[in-house]
Amino acid sequence: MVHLKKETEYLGADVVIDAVGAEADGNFLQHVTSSKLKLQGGSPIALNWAIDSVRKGGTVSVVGAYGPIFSAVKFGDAMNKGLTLRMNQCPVKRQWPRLFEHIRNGYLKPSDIVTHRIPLENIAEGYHIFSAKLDDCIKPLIVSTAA
Amino acid sequence: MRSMVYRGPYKVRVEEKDMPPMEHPNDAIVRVKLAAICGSDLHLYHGMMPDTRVGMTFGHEFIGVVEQVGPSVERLKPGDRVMVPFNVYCGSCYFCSRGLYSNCHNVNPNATAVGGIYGYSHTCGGYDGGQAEFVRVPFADVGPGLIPDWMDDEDAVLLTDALPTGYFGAQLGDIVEGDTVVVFGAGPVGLFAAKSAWLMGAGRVIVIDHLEYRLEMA
Repeated sequence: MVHLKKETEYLGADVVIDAVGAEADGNFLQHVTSSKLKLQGGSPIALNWAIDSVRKGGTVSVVGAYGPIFSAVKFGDAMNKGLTLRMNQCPVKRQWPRLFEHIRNGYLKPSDIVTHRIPLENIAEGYHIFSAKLDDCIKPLIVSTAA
Repeated sequence: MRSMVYRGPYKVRVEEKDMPPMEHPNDAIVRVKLAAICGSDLHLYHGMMPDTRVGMTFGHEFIGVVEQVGPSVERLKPGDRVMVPFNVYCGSCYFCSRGLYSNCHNVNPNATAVGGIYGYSHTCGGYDGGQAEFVRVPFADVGPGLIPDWMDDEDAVLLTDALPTGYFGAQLGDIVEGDTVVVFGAGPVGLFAAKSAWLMGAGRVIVIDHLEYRLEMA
């Protein structure tokens, strides 16, 4: 966090995007209240870091996963810094026209991040590798037997 | 058909399951060609998501070929190559008509927040997902899109959730030219959000994660 502040001349970033799922590794307290006791709907660790690292008046965009239960979010800091908080589950089809163009023009090549191609029959293995972050796994695809 | 089935936290296996039935004239049955495991599927796998029922099939990122369509389906026909967004949505309610497809009011009437998602527990509507040979796609005229001829299958499957979500994250940030953008999480969505931020004119993009190999990708 301190390093981030230095990098941005002690102001903080203009925009911070929280793209961590619901199980950010943070600290022990977080692990106990969320994963073990199910008292929190998702991990607010990344979101709290986002609120800390954005500049005053900046924007925090949340596309990480959060469940329906309360999360311990630093709301006071967000309010007093005058942040804009924006979030939703993505309405996929709204993004398609522009993304089709970007892919067609070569600006984006989504399949670059695919690291594993696993037959449907071995899907349990796929879940294990992805979950335990083995074998440098970033994105596993499942190849169906019906095709 | 063969299908991934949830048996409890950290337990999934492939089982023989009944073919998904047509339940409505606007349904389609899609023969899955390629699916993906999403980082958010791991929350289901870890037993974190409320109301994830044993016997459920996961998978909200999938593409395939239309096998069968209901009598009122007009835009799709058997044999079409389709990509199916992870959202299940009706396309005509108050929220859908405002573009809030992920908050559709008809597909998940018990929930006050989220709409419907394929293979994402009964909290998100209880729809079976695409990590199987066949899947039922409700509102077949609304969600699925035809895959253009020039597009690879592997690109198309990532267009059903991961890439649009990353791009959406960058869009929500209202990035203006030269902005410093920080992305927490270098999973698929974070990596795509970082790429999208560059495309939107960010002056600097910093990606944060604790897994070294993923940062190398960034």
